[in-house]
Amino acid sequence: MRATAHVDRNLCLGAGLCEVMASELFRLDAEGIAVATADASGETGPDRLELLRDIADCCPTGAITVTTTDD
Amino acid sequence: MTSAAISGPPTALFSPAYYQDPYPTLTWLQENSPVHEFRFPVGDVPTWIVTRYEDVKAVLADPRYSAEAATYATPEFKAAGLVAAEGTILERGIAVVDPPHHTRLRRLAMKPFTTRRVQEWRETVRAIVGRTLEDCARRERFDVMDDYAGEVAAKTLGEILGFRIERHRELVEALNQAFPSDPALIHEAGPAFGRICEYSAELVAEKRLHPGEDLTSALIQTSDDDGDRLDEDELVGMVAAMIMGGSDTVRGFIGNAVLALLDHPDQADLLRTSPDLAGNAVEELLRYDGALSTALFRVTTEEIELAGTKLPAGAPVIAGLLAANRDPRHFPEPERLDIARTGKRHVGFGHGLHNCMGAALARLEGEIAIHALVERFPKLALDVPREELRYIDSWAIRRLTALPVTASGASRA
Repeated sequence: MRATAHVDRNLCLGAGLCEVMASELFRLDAEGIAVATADASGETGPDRLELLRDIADCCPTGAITVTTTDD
Repeated sequence: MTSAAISGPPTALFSPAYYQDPYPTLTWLQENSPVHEFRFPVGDVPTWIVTRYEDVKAVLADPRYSAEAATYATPEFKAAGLVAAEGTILERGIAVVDPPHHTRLRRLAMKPFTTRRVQEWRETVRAIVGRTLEDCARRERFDVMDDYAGEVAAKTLGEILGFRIERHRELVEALNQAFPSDPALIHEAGPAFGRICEYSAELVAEKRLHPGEDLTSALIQTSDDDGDRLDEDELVGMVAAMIMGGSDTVRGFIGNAVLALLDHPDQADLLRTSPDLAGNAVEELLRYDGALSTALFRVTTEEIELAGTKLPAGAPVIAGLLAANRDPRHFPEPERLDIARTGKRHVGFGHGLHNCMGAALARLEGEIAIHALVERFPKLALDVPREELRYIDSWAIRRLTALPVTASGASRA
């Protein structure tokens, strides 16, 4: 399964929860707004997918979406 | 730091003089002792306060600074009664647990609080603000804290959680007792948390019988994709957390914001003539003088070096949010209120895992209530001399005791 995490920069307010939960997947940029790292997208096992969904569900602005494709 | 031992900050931390104006002390700490050891007034426990923006963010983003004082604090800290809500279900509440427990609670409860979902409450908040403003207009002279900010915050929370407004005052009283600054009153904290939980349990029981459109009913129903749900204690704890997080804080913030605008009439004029700035103004007002002085206690899980200072394991650490938001290393001209200021993120809602869940709702309430007040009363003025205004004695919440104003500007002051 492939997963893609996306941060909506217009919604994100830089609370930093995603970076604390998984700094390998999300980082705050110089403006303090979150970006998904290259590791946050691609071939994904169940644990990684669950983590991405946890983070998206905990985000205070609802700025993170996770989409999956089977292949 | 040796300089801290020789001279001290202008007022002692968490002393009566500090509460009236914490900023000179916070600025002194930033300059002279950015990771500052002092004795917490309750229990005389060695505690560290962090005041620079970068350090505050670093502490709040680092899992080695745990929110679980019940797990990691020293026996001394626990003996002083400083573990929040000890002995009640709130001891395992969302604000004071680490992952994975925190993740599960937050996942189950966050959905109705996101920016998009909170917009559903916009008309509700507008209507409450409109009615409250009319009451204030009839009075002509009124107290922004009790008659406006307090009313708006209480009615909004009541409407959203689905509780009756009569209960609000006793809840606010319990809340103030739950976080005492006076060491002599620490014994009242436990029973106060207990009363908040008791009320929350009543509300949950009532909504189980008679579900409504409110958030309490939604939380009872909520479940994730795997069918996981909040159990009874978690539900009660979550509703209690919302009561604690969503009433006096919003009230305090609106009061601080209105005072800031009274102090800066040019900025009030700008907001009145540029309603598009309302959202941005709220961010700047949160930065300039927010309602949360500090984050809740963090406790180190191991020895950590922070900006050159060694913290032992089990050290209580307080992240200074007011201080960080006025750090000149991060905000140019931090003392200047500029509602058009853009760019730098403030930490008025905290940072990291425990950032405020209700932030979007607080922003919505602030945006509507602050703009509406300056628009409705262009001549609004203080009705007491400026120096008579007082803040409550609280190390965690910065809130005025009263903010008497006159709508017509015909002040007795």
